[in-house]
Amino acid sequence: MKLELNGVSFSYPSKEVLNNLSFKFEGAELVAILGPNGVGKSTLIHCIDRILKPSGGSILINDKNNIDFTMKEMSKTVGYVPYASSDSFPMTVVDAVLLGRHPHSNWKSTKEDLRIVYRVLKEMGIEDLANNQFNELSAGQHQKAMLARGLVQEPQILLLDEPTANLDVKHQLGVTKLLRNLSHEREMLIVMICHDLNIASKYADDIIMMKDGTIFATGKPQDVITKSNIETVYDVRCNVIDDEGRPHVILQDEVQH
Amino acid sequence: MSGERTPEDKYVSAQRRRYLYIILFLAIAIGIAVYSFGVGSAVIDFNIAIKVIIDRLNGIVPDRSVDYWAWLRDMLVIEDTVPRALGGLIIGAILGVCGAVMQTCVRNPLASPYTTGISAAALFGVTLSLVLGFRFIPIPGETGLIMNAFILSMFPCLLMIMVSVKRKTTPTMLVLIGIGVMYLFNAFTMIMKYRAEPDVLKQIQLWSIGSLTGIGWSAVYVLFATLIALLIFMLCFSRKMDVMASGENQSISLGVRPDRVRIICMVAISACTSVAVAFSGAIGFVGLIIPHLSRLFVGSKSKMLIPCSAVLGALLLIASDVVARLLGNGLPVGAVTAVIGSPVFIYFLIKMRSNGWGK
Repeated sequence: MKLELNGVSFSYPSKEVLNNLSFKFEGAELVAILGPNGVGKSTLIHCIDRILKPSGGSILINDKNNIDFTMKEMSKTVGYVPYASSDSFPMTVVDAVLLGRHPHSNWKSTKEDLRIVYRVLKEMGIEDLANNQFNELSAGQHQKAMLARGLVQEPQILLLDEPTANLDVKHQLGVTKLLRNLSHEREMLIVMICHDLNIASKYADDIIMMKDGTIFATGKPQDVITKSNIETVYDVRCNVIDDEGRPHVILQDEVQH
Repeated sequence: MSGERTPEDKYVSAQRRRYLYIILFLAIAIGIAVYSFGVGSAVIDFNIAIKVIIDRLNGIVPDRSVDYWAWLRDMLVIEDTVPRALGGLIIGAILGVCGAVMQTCVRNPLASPYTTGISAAALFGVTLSLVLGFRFIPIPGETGLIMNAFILSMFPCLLMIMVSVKRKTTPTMLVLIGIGVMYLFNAFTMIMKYRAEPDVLKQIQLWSIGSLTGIGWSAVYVLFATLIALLIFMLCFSRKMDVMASGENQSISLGVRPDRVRIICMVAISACTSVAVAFSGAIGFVGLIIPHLSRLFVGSKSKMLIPCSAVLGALLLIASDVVARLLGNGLPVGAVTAVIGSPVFIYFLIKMRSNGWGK
């Protein structure tokens, strides 16, 4: 699977959000998108998944422009896990996750769809919650259920908008490690927005660091997560040390101008 | 291990058991409808009504010149009581389905066909005709009145379509547009009522509350065709609607265009609701509460929710009509639906162990 952006820009009526973004990732890996709030990370993901339409540039998925995909092809190829669930009405975890099989189903769910759902719930370690109400889960369980919905879609590329938000440290580590393992085991390209520099450094294969709607740096964690880059992008003072070959950030204070 | 059921098998069995609720509610609704044949009339009781129906099914039609009272009983049952019961079942079913689909489409548990301003627009159409004698299509009698209601009730629907075409609309925006339209037409109706004669004012009041009086076979045929078309159409869209309930962005990611599906369903709902309103007036409670009651029994999946809302809506409306007729002449059914429905709904919410609405 391959994801390639060439000169992608996006603007709302009142302001430009993305400006001339270009990058390419190929193969099974976990890519973390880092950057301050409001820099366009979610907008970038929405453009890739055709939730938003870029004002310029092109997005190629497996060398095909994403606007040339039918809706069904797109939903089978690219999966998306939102920042927060917007499910409006009570439903069980099974039914909520089963929605992820919609791109593969015709007019009704099959037993194979159900088999896939229960298998993924077991992989997530939440098979006991199958008959619980989706909106009554804890934050960690809820996040795993939403991730399960994305996984049952069986996409080649999975986009996640802050999958570790609202999770405690243990669950942040657990979910991110799970995503890295899944990307390798299922040969998926997983792109996730992340705010925790150290978790991204520890588990991501590649990093995109954004600033002011553009790509500030891209590459391996040790090349992107540097003292200079962090101070420039985040406006904070820090030290970066080596932790088993990966950079580890120690934050100090805001930069005094 | 042979004989051990997989989770998938258990899930399928649980889904099938939910169909039993639908069958049960349908049986109760039909039972109440049959019971209603003998309610509220000084000359017709249940046994007479059943005898009349059986005679008709056997081809026996009383001759007025031979036996006037037999002919009168036959007319009352066949031309009034039976179509009224059938009309009540069908209108209740239409309103229940429309409410369920509306709430799913706009992702709002308070949404109903009436929060889109349909009933208010229809009522204003009736008021225009009664007070000013104005009809969009100059057909005399009730038909012209009904056409007024139907034509004006399409106005809120067309407004929502126009706004959606011009700009991207959210579910909340559609509900707010509907509420704005509802207040607008209610204001127009109030102005008309201020100018109306007392007897006309009473008619308008009856329409605004809702009544099954005067529903004949021609209405039943139209309503039945509307219900069948609505059920088929909505069941075809049921999976898309379920995906839509997961959110706008998630829907697009799963291959569903929520704005497109929403508008198509809203047009269908508006048309079907306006047909119901045109025959029965503004019976507003059914579309709001029935979907919530249905979810307590069959969950939120549209494939179950839609038929369950249909039979529960039918049950509520026919039961309300029976109560209205038992309580006294001319009591509008719309006044009773809210009195019956609200306590029942609250009772089930309290009693059910898991209602799924969260903490």
